[in-house]
Amino acid sequence: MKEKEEKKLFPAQEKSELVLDIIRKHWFNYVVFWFLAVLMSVPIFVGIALWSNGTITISPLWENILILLIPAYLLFILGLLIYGFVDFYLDVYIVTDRRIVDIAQNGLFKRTISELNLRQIQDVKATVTGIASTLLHFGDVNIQTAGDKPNFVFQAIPHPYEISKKILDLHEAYLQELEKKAKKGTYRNFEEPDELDRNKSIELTENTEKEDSKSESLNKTLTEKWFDGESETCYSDESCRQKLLDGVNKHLAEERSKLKTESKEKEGELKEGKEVDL
Amino acid sequence: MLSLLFVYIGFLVLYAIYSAMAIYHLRRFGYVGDLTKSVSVVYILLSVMVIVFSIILITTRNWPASFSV
Repeated sequence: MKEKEEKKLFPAQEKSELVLDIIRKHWFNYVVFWFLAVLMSVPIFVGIALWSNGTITISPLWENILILLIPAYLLFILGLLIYGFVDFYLDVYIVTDRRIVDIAQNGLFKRTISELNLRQIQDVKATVTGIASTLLHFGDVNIQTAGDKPNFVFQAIPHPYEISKKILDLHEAYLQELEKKAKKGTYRNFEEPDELDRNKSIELTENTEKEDSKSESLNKTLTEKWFDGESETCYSDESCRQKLLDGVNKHLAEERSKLKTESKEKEGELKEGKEVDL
Repeated sequence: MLSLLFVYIGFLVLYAIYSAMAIYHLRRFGYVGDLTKSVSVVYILLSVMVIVFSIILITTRNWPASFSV
């Protein structure tokens, strides 16, 4: 039986990418919709109660009109609640071991996905303002990015201080990993390109993949050249890299000795008084 | 009076389209094991209850062709 393919949380998610946290706005943001719905439905239920008690009387004509109006009004309130839920629940912030993703659902017809690579983070700031935020422990996390790129803001999320610390830790860990790779020489694209835009991270991923495949094929060509067609790649294998280096040194030594013998031959010819093309 | 009934039916059609879109969004963009499925079911049940109840009430009433308020 075929295993079901795991659903991606966002379009650019890679197979090996580890999702560390999925953050939604604090539930207090949805309570506003419930409060509005209750406030709107109170007059209806009060009116029905008064009418059933006989406190108020309605003419048959108005009864007909209200029979149509009240269900329409209740359906409108239900529609408002589902709108609020979609807006609240599908607004998600995802933290992975490589990036931060902001999925913003604005109503039913606007959905924006923005991404920020962990290496682009410069500073993370958590802010809690207001009585409700302080009592219920929610607030904003502002992630400052490098250069002119717009900042990333996680709005009204629970436990903002803990989350800002987590993001900073991840950023540090990511940078350390990059440094290690750069020292090893397995990571070539260490410098951040200027035109990098957080909304173009999908393109960036594709480009990085292209770069990776380019360097991989270069390594393959080199290895095939120096090791008599042995199909071996030296992208991240240390022993293979060493082998490649030895091969290159050997070739250089051969070239040097060739040059030496050639120059000796030319010197000899000069001594004999022959014309030599230098 | 009948025209009001048609307006109500028109509203129900629009409501059905709106609900279909909302549920589509929840199914398409919601994640496995989260609240979206249960919320969709509750929403559909409540909507059907309100609509069915209103239809029952409508069928029990007299609807003259014209009226004056």
